[in-house]
Amino acid sequence: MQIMVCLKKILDPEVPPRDFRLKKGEMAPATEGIPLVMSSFDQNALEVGLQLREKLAGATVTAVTVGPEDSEDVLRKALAVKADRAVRVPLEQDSKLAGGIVAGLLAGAAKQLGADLVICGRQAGDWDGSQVGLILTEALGWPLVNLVMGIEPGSSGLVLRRELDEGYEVIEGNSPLVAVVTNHETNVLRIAKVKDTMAAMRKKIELFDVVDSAAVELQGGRIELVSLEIPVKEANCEMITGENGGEKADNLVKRLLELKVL
Amino acid sequence: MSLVLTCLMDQGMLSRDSLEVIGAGKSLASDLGAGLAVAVIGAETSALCAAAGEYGAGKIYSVQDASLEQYYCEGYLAALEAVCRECKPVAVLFVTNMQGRELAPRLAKRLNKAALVDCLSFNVEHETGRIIFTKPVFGGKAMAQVVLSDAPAVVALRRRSFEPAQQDQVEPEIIQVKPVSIPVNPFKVMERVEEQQAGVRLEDARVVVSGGQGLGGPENFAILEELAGLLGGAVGASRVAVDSGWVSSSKQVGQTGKIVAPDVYLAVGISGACQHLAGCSGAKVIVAINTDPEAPVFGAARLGVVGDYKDVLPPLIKKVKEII
Amino acid sequence: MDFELDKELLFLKEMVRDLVQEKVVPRAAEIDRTDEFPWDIKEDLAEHEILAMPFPEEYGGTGGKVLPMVIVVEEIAKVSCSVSMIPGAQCLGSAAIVLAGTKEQKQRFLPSLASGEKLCAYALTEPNAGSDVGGIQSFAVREGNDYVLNGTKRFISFGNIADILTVFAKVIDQNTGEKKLSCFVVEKGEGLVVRNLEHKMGVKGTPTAELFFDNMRVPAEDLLGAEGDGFKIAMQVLDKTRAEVAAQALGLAQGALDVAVQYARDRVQFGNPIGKFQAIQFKLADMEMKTQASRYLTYVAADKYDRKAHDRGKYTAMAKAFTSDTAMEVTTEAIQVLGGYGYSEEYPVERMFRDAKIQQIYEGTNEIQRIVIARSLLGRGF
Repeated sequence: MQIMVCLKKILDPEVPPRDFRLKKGEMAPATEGIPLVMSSFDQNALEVGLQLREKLAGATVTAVTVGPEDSEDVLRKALAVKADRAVRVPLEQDSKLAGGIVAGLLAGAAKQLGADLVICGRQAGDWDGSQVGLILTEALGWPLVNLVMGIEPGSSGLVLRRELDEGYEVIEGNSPLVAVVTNHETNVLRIAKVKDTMAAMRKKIELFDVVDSAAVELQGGRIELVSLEIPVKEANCEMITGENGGEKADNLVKRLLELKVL
Repeated sequence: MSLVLTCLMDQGMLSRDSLEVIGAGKSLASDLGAGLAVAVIGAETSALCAAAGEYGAGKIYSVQDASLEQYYCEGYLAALEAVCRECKPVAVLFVTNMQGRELAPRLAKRLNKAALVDCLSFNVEHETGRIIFTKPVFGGKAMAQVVLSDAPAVVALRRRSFEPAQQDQVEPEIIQVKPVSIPVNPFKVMERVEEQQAGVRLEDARVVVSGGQGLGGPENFAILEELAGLLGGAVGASRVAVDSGWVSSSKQVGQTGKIVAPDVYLAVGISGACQHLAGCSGAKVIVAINTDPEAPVFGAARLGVVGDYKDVLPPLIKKVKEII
Repeated sequence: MDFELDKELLFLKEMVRDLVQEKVVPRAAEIDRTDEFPWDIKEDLAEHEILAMPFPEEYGGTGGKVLPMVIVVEEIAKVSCSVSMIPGAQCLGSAAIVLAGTKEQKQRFLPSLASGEKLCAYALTEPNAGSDVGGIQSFAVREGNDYVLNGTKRFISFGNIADILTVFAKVIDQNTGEKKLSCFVVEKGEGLVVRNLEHKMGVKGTPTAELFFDNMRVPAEDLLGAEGDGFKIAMQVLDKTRAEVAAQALGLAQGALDVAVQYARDRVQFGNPIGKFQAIQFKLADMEMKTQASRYLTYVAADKYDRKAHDRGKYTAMAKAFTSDTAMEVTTEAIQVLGGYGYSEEYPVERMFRDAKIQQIYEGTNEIQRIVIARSLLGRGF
C-alpha cells in the first residue's frame, strides 16, 4: 500500500500572542525570529501513517509537501522518523486561506505516486483553513474519513477510529480513501533517533511537477482576503488574594456571588 | 427572491446547533434582503419540517430517503448538492460541528465555489452588497476578513457564536428534492461509542471546570469532577491533557475541541494558549487558577488566583458545599 | 570561514530539543527535588541513541565525534544539567577504552555501552588525590593472569550504578617495588564495594559514590595500554571530555539566560516590564555576550578535537574554564534579575546556579585548566 502523508511547514503556533506581528502593509504575519515547524495535526497524520505501515507488510510512507525549497525541512523531519520517500511540489507563494490550490497540487501528487491512501492533518496551525484534505477528497473522487485518530489493517480493508462530537466510532472501508487526522494520545509523533536524524540530511527529496491539476483547481471559487488584523484585547484580570488557599477560595466565591454567576 | 440556505443535521428535534444556524441565516437573509431557506435530510423529515417552521423557515428543501436515516458524509453531501442545484442560494450556512466541518468544503468544491470554516461573524457591505466573513486565524492570534467570490458562499459558523433563533411560527412551503442518485455509505460502522457524560453536557454546562498540564496527571482530574459535580457543571481539558491521555478527547475545549460559553469557566493549571482560549472566550466570567503569575491565561481571565490548585480547590469545594 | 553549524547539526539540535521538551522538561524539577537517578530518562536517551554518541559506528555507536555530542549535551543542559550528565558520564567513563583500548577490548565493552544497556564511570579521584593525579594510592599487584586491586575512590559520578568502570591504580612491581600508574577496565562484581553516596549541593539525581576495592581480581587482559600508561590515558580522556563539561555549562548559561529574558519581558514593576530598565538590560546584555563567547569557544574546541588539531588540549581547557565561569556568572545574575522569585524553587534558576558551581570544579578544576593553558604559552618547564 502506498501511503501518502501531506505535511506543511508553518509559523510555530505556540508562539505567544505578544510575539505575533503582522508584516507592515501586507496581509501576512511577520516571520522574523519565529521558528518554523511542522504543523501539529500533520505530525499526528504522519504518526498515523507510520503506525499503519508497521502493521502492513510492504506498505510505504511518502511524505509530501507543497511549498518553496525551504519547506523541505518538514520532509527531512519525516525522513528522520523513517518515511520511505519525500516529495516536494513547488509553490512559491503562501496560499493563505486558498486551500484549493494546495489541494489540487496534492491530488496531482497522489496520482503521480499511485497512492492508495492519503492522510492529512485536519487543519494547518497557521491559517486554520481546515479544508485541504476535504477538497483533495473531492479532487480525487475518493471517500473521506474525517477526524481520524488511528488506522489499522482490517480483515478486508482498513479500520479507522474517528472522533465524533460526543465519543468515537470505529469504521471499516476500502482504499483508496482520504483520512483527515485529529490529535489523540495515540498519535503524538515519535521522536527521531540520532543516526536517522543525521542520515535524513543526506537523503534525496524528489520534486514533482504537477502544474496541470493546479490549473484545474484555480477555476473554482476564490477566497479573497480583505483584511488581517490582530484583535486588541484588554486584560482586566482582577487578582484574588489571600494569606492561604482557604482565604483565596473564600474571596473567590464571594466575588463570583457578587458577579451573580454562581 | 434570493435565498440563504441553512443546513440542518438533526433527526426529529432541533438541536442548539440548528437553532444557531437558523438564527444566523435569518440575520444574514435580512441583511441581504433575501429569504430564508432550510435544508432537512432524513428517512422521514416531516417532524423536522414542522419544527423548522416554528422558527421561521419559510421555505424548506427536504430530501427524504430511507438510506439517509443516519448521517453519513457521502449521502448527505449528495443530498445537499441536489438541494443547492434546486434552490440556487446566495449563501449556504452550516455549523462547524462534526458534519458541517466535512460537508462545507466538499459541497463548495462540488459547486465549484469556495468555502470558509469556523466563521465567527459576518456583515454585509452596504455599497457593494458583498458579505464580509470574519474568521480567526493563527490560533486566534489574528482575525481575517474574507469575501468568497461567486455565490453561493459556503460557510460553517463557529458554535456558540451566534444567537439561537427565536420562535416565529410560519407556514412553510416544503419542496421535496430527489437527488439523481445517493451513493451508499462506503464505510461499515463496527462500533460506535457515545460517551455518556455524568451530569450535563460540556457545551450546555453553566459552569465548566477545566484542567491542563498543571494538573500533572489523570488522577488529579477527580477533584475537578467533584467541584463540577457540586456546581452542576462539566469538566473540560486543554489539548495537552488530552494528548497526554489524561482525559478523553471529547473533553478538549478549544479551537479544535468544544466551544463552550458557560457563566463561569474555571481554568485550572492551564497556561492559556490562544487555541484553548478560543474555546472559552464566550464565557461570562473566566477564572484562572495557576501557580505562574505570568501565565497568559490571566490576560484573558476576569478573576485570577495565583497559587497551587491543590491549596485552593479543597477549601473552594468546602465553601461551595456550605452555600449550596 | 564559516562559524555556523552545519545543517546536519542544526537538525540534530532540533531533534534533541523535541526529545527534551517531551521527556525532560516535565521531570527536571522533580529530579532535583527527589535526588533520584531518572532511570526512565536513561532509557529514553538510550532508545534515541544519545548514549550511542560517544562510540564509533563499528561498535554500535553513531560516530564518536565530540562536536555533535557538545550540541546535544548543551541542549539537554538548558533544561536539566543532571540529565545532560548521563551521556556525559557515558562518554567520560568509556573514553579510556575508546582512546587506548585494543580492538578486542573495544569489541567486548563498547557495544553494550553504546546500546545503553550498561552504564560506565571514570574512577580517577581519591580522597587524597584530586588535582594531583600523581598522588593516587590505589594499587594493583600482578598474580597469575589477574591483577589484584586495592584502594578507595571518591567523588565517582555514577560509580554506584555503573556496570563498567575505568579505574586508575598504580601497579607495584614485586621485584623492584616500582609503581606505575595504570588504567584498568573493571566490571562490577566481587571485591567492589559502594561505601557512601555524597550529599551534594547540585546536580541532584546524579549519584556520586565512594568506591572501595577490596582485593578485587581484574583479568590481566583488561589492562588498558601498558603498565605505566595511566597518566597519559587520564590526560587524554580529560582533553576530550572537558569539551562536554563546557557544553553542560553552556547549556546552563543559556537556560538561565532564557528564563531571565522571558521574566524581564513579563514582570511588571513601576508600571513597566522590568526589561525596560537599563539596570536589567545591561545585565542581560552581559549575560548574552559571555554566553555567546562561551558558545563559540566551546564549538571551536570540540571541532579542533575532532580534527585532531595539535592545540586541542589547550582549547578544551579554555572552553571548560571560560564556559563554567560564565555559567556561574550568568546563573547568579539570572537569580538577581528574577529577584525573590529567582531565589525560590518556583523558577529553575536557583537549581541552575547550584548546578553551575560543580562545573568549575570537576574534570579538572578551573585552576588546573589555567595551568594547562599557561603551560601551553610558557612551555613545559613552567
